[in-house]
Amino acid sequence: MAKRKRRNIPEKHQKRHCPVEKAGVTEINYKDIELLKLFITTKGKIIPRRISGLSSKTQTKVTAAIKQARNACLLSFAQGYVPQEEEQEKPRFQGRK
Amino acid sequence: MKTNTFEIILITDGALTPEENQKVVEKFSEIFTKKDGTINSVADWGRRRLAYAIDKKAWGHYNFFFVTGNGAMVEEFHLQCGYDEQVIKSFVVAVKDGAKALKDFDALKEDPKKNSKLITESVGV
Repeated sequence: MAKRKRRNIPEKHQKRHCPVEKAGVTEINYKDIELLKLFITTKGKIIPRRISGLSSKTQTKVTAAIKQARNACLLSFAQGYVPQEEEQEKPRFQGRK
Repeated sequence: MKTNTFEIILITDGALTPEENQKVVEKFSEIFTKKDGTINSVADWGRRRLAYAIDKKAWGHYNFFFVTGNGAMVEEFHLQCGYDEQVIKSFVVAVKDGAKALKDFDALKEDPKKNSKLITESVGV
Protein backbone atom coordinates (compact mmCIF):
# COMPACT_ATOMS: atom_id res chain seq x y z
CA MET A 1 0.00 0.00 0.00
CA ALA A 2 1.31 3.37 -0.99
CA LYS A 3 2.08 5.84 1.74
CA ARG A 4 -0.36 8.64 2.09
CA LYS A 5 1.23 11.97 1.26
CA ARG A 6 1.27 14.53 4.05
CA ARG A 7 -0.77 17.60 3.35
CA ASN A 8 0.98 20.95 3.27
CA ILE A 9 -0.44 22.89 6.20
CA PRO A 10 -1.02 26.56 5.35
CA GLU A 11 1.03 29.05 7.33
CA LYS A 12 -1.86 30.51 9.31
CA HIS A 13 -2.80 27.06 10.70
CA GLN A 14 0.74 26.11 11.71
CA LYS A 15 1.59 26.06 15.40
CA ARG A 16 3.26 29.29 16.54
CA HIS A 17 5.57 29.72 19.50
CA CYS A 18 5.55 32.61 21.93
CA PRO A 19 8.63 34.80 21.18
CA VAL A 20 9.17 35.68 24.86
CA GLU A 21 9.04 32.07 26.12
CA LYS A 22 11.15 30.92 23.18
CA ALA A 23 13.89 33.42 24.09
CA GLY A 24 13.94 32.18 27.69
CA VAL A 25 12.82 35.42 29.33
CA THR A 26 10.99 34.42 32.51
CA GLU A 27 10.12 37.70 34.21
CA ILE A 28 8.47 40.77 32.72
CA ASN A 29 8.94 43.96 34.71
CA TYR A 30 7.39 47.37 34.10
CA LYS A 31 10.84 49.04 34.34
CA ASP A 32 12.18 47.01 31.39
CA ILE A 33 11.09 49.56 28.76
CA GLU A 34 13.36 48.20 26.03
CA LEU A 35 11.41 44.92 26.14
CA LEU A 36 7.98 46.54 26.39
CA LYS A 37 8.59 48.84 23.42
CA LEU A 38 8.64 45.74 21.16
CA PHE A 39 4.94 45.22 21.90
CA ILE A 40 3.58 48.75 21.39
CA THR A 41 3.07 50.81 18.24
CA THR A 42 4.68 54.19 17.55
CA LYS A 43 1.45 55.80 18.79
CA GLY A 44 1.72 53.87 22.08
CA LYS A 45 -1.07 51.34 21.51
CA ILE A 46 -0.68 47.76 22.78
CA ILE A 47 -0.28 45.32 19.87
CA PRO A 48 -2.99 42.57 19.91
CA ARG A 49 -2.14 38.92 20.50
CA ARG A 50 -3.08 37.76 17.00
CA ILE A 51 -0.31 40.00 15.59
CA SER A 52 2.35 39.90 18.33
CA GLY A 53 2.08 36.10 18.60
CA LEU A 54 2.43 36.02 22.39
CA SER A 55 0.87 33.29 24.51
CA SER A 56 -2.16 34.34 26.58
CA LYS A 57 -0.18 34.14 29.83
CA THR A 58 2.61 36.43 28.64
CA GLN A 59 0.21 38.82 26.89
CA THR A 60 -1.59 39.51 30.20
CA LYS A 61 1.76 40.09 31.90
CA VAL A 62 2.94 42.43 29.13
CA THR A 63 -0.28 44.50 29.09
CA ALA A 64 -0.18 44.89 32.88
CA ALA A 65 3.48 45.96 32.71
CA ILE A 66 2.83 48.49 29.92
CA LYS A 67 -0.02 50.09 31.90
CA GLN A 68 2.20 50.32 35.00
CA ALA A 69 5.03 51.85 32.97
CA ARG A 70 2.65 54.51 31.62
CA ASN A 71 1.70 55.49 35.17
CA ALA A 72 5.35 55.57 36.27
CA CYS A 73 6.07 58.06 33.47
CA LEU A 74 8.39 55.62 31.64
CA LEU A 75 6.16 55.17 28.55
CA SER A 76 3.98 57.83 27.02
CA PHE A 77 0.20 57.40 26.61
CA ALA A 78 0.14 58.94 23.14
CA GLN A 79 3.72 58.68 21.81
CA GLY A 80 4.80 55.29 23.18
CA TYR A 81 8.54 54.91 23.73
CA VAL A 82 10.42 58.18 24.23
CA PRO A 83 14.22 57.74 23.93
CA GLN A 84 16.61 59.16 26.51
CA GLU A 85 18.45 62.07 24.93
CA GLU A 86 21.18 64.20 26.36
CA GLU A 87 20.25 67.75 27.12
CA GLN A 88 21.31 70.21 24.43
CA GLU A 89 21.26 73.95 24.66
CA LYS A 90 19.39 75.68 21.88
CA PRO A 91 21.57 78.05 19.81
CA ARG A 92 20.77 81.63 20.66
CA PHE A 93 19.29 83.92 18.05
CA GLN A 94 21.96 86.47 17.21
CA GLY A 95 20.00 88.95 15.13
CA ARG A 96 19.64 89.27 11.42
CA LYS A 97 22.71 89.82 9.32
CA MET B 1 -1.68 45.21 61.08
CA LYS B 2 -0.66 43.13 58.11
CA THR B 3 2.72 44.03 56.64
CA ASN B 4 3.78 43.88 53.02
CA THR B 5 6.90 44.63 51.03
CA PHE B 6 6.59 47.58 48.71
CA GLU B 7 8.63 49.04 45.88
CA ILE B 8 8.08 52.79 45.98
CA ILE B 9 9.08 55.19 43.20
CA LEU B 10 9.59 58.84 44.03
CA ILE B 11 10.13 61.20 41.09
CA THR B 12 11.53 64.58 42.11
CA ASP B 13 11.99 67.73 40.05
CA GLY B 14 14.76 67.49 37.44
CA ALA B 15 15.92 71.05 38.19
CA LEU B 16 17.18 69.94 41.65
CA THR B 17 20.86 69.25 42.24
CA PRO B 18 21.87 65.73 43.41
CA GLU B 19 22.41 67.05 46.98
CA GLU B 20 18.96 68.64 47.10
CA ASN B 21 17.48 65.40 45.77
CA GLN B 22 19.29 63.49 48.54
CA LYS B 23 17.65 65.73 51.17
CA VAL B 24 14.18 64.83 49.83
CA VAL B 25 15.09 61.12 49.95
CA GLU B 26 16.26 61.43 53.58
CA LYS B 27 13.06 63.27 54.52
CA PHE B 28 10.87 60.52 53.10
CA SER B 29 12.94 57.71 54.61
CA GLU B 30 12.28 59.33 58.02
CA ILE B 31 8.54 59.24 57.31
CA PHE B 32 8.71 55.49 56.64
CA THR B 33 10.58 54.72 59.87
CA LYS B 34 8.19 56.89 61.93
CA LYS B 35 5.23 54.84 60.69
CA ASP B 36 6.79 51.50 61.79
CA GLY B 37 8.24 50.70 58.38
CA THR B 38 11.70 49.23 57.77
CA ILE B 39 13.74 50.39 54.79
CA ASN B 40 15.53 47.45 53.19
CA SER B 41 17.34 49.47 50.57
CA VAL B 42 17.33 52.70 48.59
CA ALA B 43 18.32 52.85 44.93
CA ASP B 44 18.83 55.67 42.47
CA TRP B 45 18.17 55.62 38.71
CA GLY B 46 19.56 59.11 38.16
CA ARG B 47 18.17 62.00 36.16
CA ARG B 48 15.94 60.86 33.29
CA ARG B 49 13.78 62.42 30.60
CA LEU B 50 10.09 61.88 31.43
CA ALA B 51 7.86 60.26 28.80
CA TYR B 52 5.36 63.10 29.16
CA ALA B 53 5.66 66.50 30.82
CA ILE B 54 4.22 66.87 34.36
CA ASP B 55 3.54 70.48 35.41
CA LYS B 56 5.62 71.59 32.38
CA LYS B 57 8.66 69.67 33.71
CA ALA B 58 10.38 67.38 31.21
CA TRP B 59 13.11 65.93 33.48
CA GLY B 60 13.02 64.10 36.82
CA HIS B 61 15.17 62.23 39.36
CA TYR B 62 14.06 58.61 39.85
CA ASN B 63 14.45 57.25 43.41
CA PHE B 64 13.47 53.75 44.55
CA PHE B 65 12.65 52.59 48.09
CA PHE B 66 12.28 48.92 49.00
CA VAL B 67 10.24 49.03 52.21
CA THR B 68 8.31 46.61 54.42
CA GLY B 69 5.39 48.14 56.26
CA ASN B 70 1.63 48.40 56.63
CA GLY B 71 -1.10 50.29 54.79
CA ALA B 72 -1.01 53.26 57.19
CA MET B 73 2.59 53.90 56.15
CA VAL B 74 1.62 54.05 52.48
CA GLU B 75 -1.29 56.39 53.23
CA GLU B 76 1.05 58.74 55.11
CA PHE B 77 3.49 58.64 52.19
CA HIS B 78 0.80 59.69 49.69
CA LEU B 79 -0.30 62.48 52.04
CA GLN B 80 3.24 63.87 52.42
CA CYS B 81 3.84 63.68 48.63
CA GLY B 82 0.91 66.06 48.16
CA TYR B 83 2.45 68.62 50.52
CA ASP B 84 5.94 68.56 48.99
CA GLU B 85 6.35 70.70 45.87
CA GLN B 86 9.67 69.10 44.90
CA VAL B 87 7.96 65.73 44.36
CA ILE B 88 6.45 65.45 40.87
CA LYS B 89 5.04 61.93 40.99
CA SER B 90 4.95 58.87 43.25
CA PHE B 91 4.10 55.25 42.51
CA VAL B 92 3.72 52.24 44.84
CA VAL B 93 3.95 48.58 43.79
CA ALA B 94 3.52 45.56 46.09
CA VAL B 95 6.41 43.08 45.65
CA LYS B 96 6.70 39.48 46.87
CA ASP B 97 10.44 39.56 47.59
CA GLY B 98 12.15 42.91 48.16
CA ALA B 99 15.73 41.57 47.94
CA LYS B 100 15.04 39.93 44.59
CA ALA B 101 13.39 43.10 43.24
CA LEU B 102 16.51 45.11 44.10
CA LYS B 103 18.73 42.50 42.46
CA ASP B 104 16.62 42.62 39.28
CA PHE B 105 16.75 46.41 39.27
CA ASP B 106 20.56 46.46 39.57
CA ALA B 107 20.84 43.99 36.68
CA LEU B 108 18.50 46.15 34.59
CA LYS B 109 20.47 49.29 35.41
CA GLU B 110 23.71 47.67 34.26
CA ASP B 111 22.38 46.26 30.98
CA PRO B 112 18.94 47.66 30.03
CA LYS B 113 18.84 45.92 26.63
CA LYS B 114 19.59 42.37 27.89
CA ASN B 115 16.06 40.86 27.65
CA SER B 116 15.03 42.70 24.48
CA LYS B 117 18.21 41.47 22.73
CA LEU B 118 17.35 37.84 23.60
CA ILE B 119 13.91 38.20 21.97
CA THR B 120 15.10 40.00 18.83
CA GLU B 121 17.89 37.44 18.34
CA SER B 122 15.57 34.44 18.70
CA VAL B 123 12.93 35.92 16.38
CA GLY B 124 15.61 37.05 13.94
CA VAL B 125 14.46 40.61 13.32
